Amino acid sequence: MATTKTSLNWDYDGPIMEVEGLEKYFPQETGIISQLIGGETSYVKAVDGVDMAIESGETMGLVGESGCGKSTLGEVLIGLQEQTGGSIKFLGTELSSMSSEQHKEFRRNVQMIFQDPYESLNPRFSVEQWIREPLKVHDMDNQDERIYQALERAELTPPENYIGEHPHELSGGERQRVSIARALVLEPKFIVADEPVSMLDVSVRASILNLLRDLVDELDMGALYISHDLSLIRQMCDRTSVMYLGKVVERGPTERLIKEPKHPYARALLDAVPVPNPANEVSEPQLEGEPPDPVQLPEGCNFRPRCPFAAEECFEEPGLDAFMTVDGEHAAACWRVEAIDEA
Amino acid sequence: MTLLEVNDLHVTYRGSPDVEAVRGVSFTVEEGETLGIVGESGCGKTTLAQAIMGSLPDNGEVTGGEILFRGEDITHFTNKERREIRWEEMSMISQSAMNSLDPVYRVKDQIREAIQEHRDMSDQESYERARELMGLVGLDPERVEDYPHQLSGGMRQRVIIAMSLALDPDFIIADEPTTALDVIIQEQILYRIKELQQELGNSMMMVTHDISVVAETCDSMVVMYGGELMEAGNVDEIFNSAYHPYTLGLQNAFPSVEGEKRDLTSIPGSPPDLSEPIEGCPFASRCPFAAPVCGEELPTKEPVEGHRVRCHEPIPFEQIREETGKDETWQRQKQA
Repeated sequence: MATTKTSLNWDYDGPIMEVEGLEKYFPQETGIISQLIGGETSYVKAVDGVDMAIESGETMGLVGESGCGKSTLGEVLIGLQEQTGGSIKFLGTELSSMSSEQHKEFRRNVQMIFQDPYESLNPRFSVEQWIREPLKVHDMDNQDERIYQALERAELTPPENYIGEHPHELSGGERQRVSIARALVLEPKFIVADEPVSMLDVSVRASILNLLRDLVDELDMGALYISHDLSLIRQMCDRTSVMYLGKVVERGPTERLIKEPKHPYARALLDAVPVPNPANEVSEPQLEGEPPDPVQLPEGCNFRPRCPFAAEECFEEPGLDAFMTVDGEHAAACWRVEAIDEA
Repeated sequence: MTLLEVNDLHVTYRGSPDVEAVRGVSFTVEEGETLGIVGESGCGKTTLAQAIMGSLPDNGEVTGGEILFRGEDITHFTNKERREIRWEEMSMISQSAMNSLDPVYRVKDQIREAIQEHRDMSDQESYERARELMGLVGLDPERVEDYPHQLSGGMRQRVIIAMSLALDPDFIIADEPTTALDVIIQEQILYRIKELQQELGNSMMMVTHDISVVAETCDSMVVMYGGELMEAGNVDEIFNSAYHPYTLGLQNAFPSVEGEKRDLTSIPGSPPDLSEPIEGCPFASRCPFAAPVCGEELPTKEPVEGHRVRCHEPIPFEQIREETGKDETWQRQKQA
């Protein structure tokens, strides 16, 4: 079809965002000597073979410790960083083979909401200038109308009370709403939200989560919601993927994953979330230490050196199909699921 | 035995205008007890901790009330008297480990400095003590040779805890000790803090915005808002039968992985301007139950012994408890 060259395929009815075997390796800084003698470059494997499909109107949760690669994955998905391997398809079109027209369209349709509403806003810009900027970059028409609509969608109403404000005149919750308005002003079809409420006060968190959830639904966007906290993921996400050292180790419907986690890492992650119930004392951690450097990865399963259940078979790497429910919706990359369930 | 008693404490930051960040707060900490101070940004919880530690910024000043430590008022202590009790009798685990470690000194030198300021200990002895402390917080003793930048965020926070324990103080204030860390490291650190406290028997004050951390680690708690105490009592009491609309609002806004999934509520509006005097309850402007009397004074009730509630009870508490669970209740307030 001739049209695919100039425009993305908006009739595509598969997942809005689909990745397969996605890799993002960062070359390690090596000394000049080892470069001269032709020593091997080592890589930080931040994202190491991830498969994921996100439908329109769906929010996928991505959970893991700091350093597990979840933020890098989010940045690669929306083109802020270039993948070093594997495939990213937006509306069924491979990102790396898009024409420049298509790529422009892609950029307009994927947006990010950042963690820190205190640092991500330019202090010298008024709310209006800040939200207008992406409209200018993409040379959009009806800019004033779009700005008003974005503010209303972010529940900053009435918009005229906000457009002249500067970041220091706004509360944390209002700033995050401004970030959301800016991300939405181009009416994207896919958003990545990286810990969007972790800097906010508890009493306003729920309102931002509810807002994001309603917007994904209303605007029929696909979304990736990144957090280390499963209690927040639970409020937002239909399905969730658990990431450890660059790989997805478990995925499934969020409620099922919270009630019956299968991978020992997912179990530990869930156990570590404090609950607002005094009958629950802080328990002995299931995991000691921190994830190893993703340069020298262990043989077999990545989690093996920290895993209390590791056995002989774990020297062979398990795929996500090592454990899978009959419907295939809940899967875990672990050989030992049954043994752990029994223990 | 009461270790710390805070009576009607007021703290003001001088400036134009002056900001009264703590506005008449009273509570006690018993020996061996862990007290949680909970509230959101700007409620005065960190100011309160700094006033007790004597580490207020230069423009901060105790403008009323007293802080009795073992019965002695420490609000008028000179810098020298303060230095004598700091580390030795009370110490602080601060919010940001990045900023409280000096990047140009090795870990061992920083721990040693804290020790040698108070104890007549040789370099060798204090070095041994530094290594021992590292083991106590679950770090490899060899890492005393490291500079702060060589450690991860979680390790730096452990070093701060090691330093706070260096002279075995009776009272430790932890100000958001795990806020910047992810859940796995948070659990490791909180577990270690609790374990050490049980071993060493010291009292603690845990300052945090996270009610789940309080639920899991504290015996009693104080809920603060707008510089005032809103509700205080035993942790079980407050989680199972809170009275104050703000406490209930916080609890209903808090997500959990436990039990069935439920919708969260939020509290529209923002905290009061603390550069202005506030008549009555600081929460009244955001409270869906506020009555005219709430703008006049702030009463203290004690529905159960030891459980204090600063609320007029404009509608019966039982009804407040039920209504605060619904998001419509809070959103109604926004329209008004």
